[in-house]
Amino acid sequence: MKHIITKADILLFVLLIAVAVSGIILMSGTEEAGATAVVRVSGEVVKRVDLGVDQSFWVGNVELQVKDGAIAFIESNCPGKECIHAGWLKTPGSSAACLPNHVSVTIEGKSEDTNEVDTVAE
Amino acid sequence: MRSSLSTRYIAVLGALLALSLGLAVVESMLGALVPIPIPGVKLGLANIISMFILAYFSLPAALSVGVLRTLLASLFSGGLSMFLYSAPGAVFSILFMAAAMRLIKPLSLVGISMIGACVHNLSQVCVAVLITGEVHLFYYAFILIAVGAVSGAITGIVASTTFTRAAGALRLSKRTSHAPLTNQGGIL
Repeated sequence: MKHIITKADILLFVLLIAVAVSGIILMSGTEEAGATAVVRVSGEVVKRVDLGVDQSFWVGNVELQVKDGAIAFIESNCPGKECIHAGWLKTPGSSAACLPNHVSVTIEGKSEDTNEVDTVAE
Repeated sequence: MRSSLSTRYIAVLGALLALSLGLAVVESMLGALVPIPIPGVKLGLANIISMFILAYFSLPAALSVGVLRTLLASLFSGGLSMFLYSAPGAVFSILFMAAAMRLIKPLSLVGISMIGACVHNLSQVCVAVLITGEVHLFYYAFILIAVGAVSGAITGIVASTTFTRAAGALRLSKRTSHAPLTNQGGIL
């Protein structure tokens, strides 16, 4: 057997691996930006926000802002301003709340394992 | 395609179909021996038979054996859902390999086999997306392209080292430039 593997074969192999690797890198980048924030008032979901889109909006007496894939309370009429001090939320599972206004925000990841509760203690 | 439906033609294709089913069984046994963490990853040994038929017979013959193989394999083990996943993979990989054999002359059987393995894996991802409706499964496609390149290369090397001898034994003559036969006498 003289030429089992030709130059074209090697070129194709390198090309396929390059496509695969760049694809995996690209997709893992968008996966993070695809997280959403869930805004609840008294436990009821009132809004789902894509963290990939920068915006700000009011929910009752508080204002929330989305910037660079993170969300934070930026304005509130509550006395302690605990919600604003909670800062920017980014990672799936993290949350902040403005208790006087009954508003809470939770970050949900795209994959199933990050937005589900492991166990519920009763 | 001379003597399109001679007895010999049918007999040889039937033997190749049986061989491809046998290879599929061997492959599932290999999978049990060496567990691979990524689901759906396999060597694709049956693809060697598809390439052999493409090289020494014809595209319709390769397609019929490929579809019959997936049908019989799913009857034996997985059922209808397995057929839905594997049949499009077999059909598309055979079509792409036939086109590559004709159009991309610099590729040897190893390159053809890589194309076949990647197309097979990609069509399975497409079927999975169509069935489940989960678009983010396409993420998986890139991993399977890398897997296809590696497994295709391995089966391609096996193919090019065995085809000459197999064709000699079957007294088949070269049909395409990808059949590495150099006028060898029959062994049988």
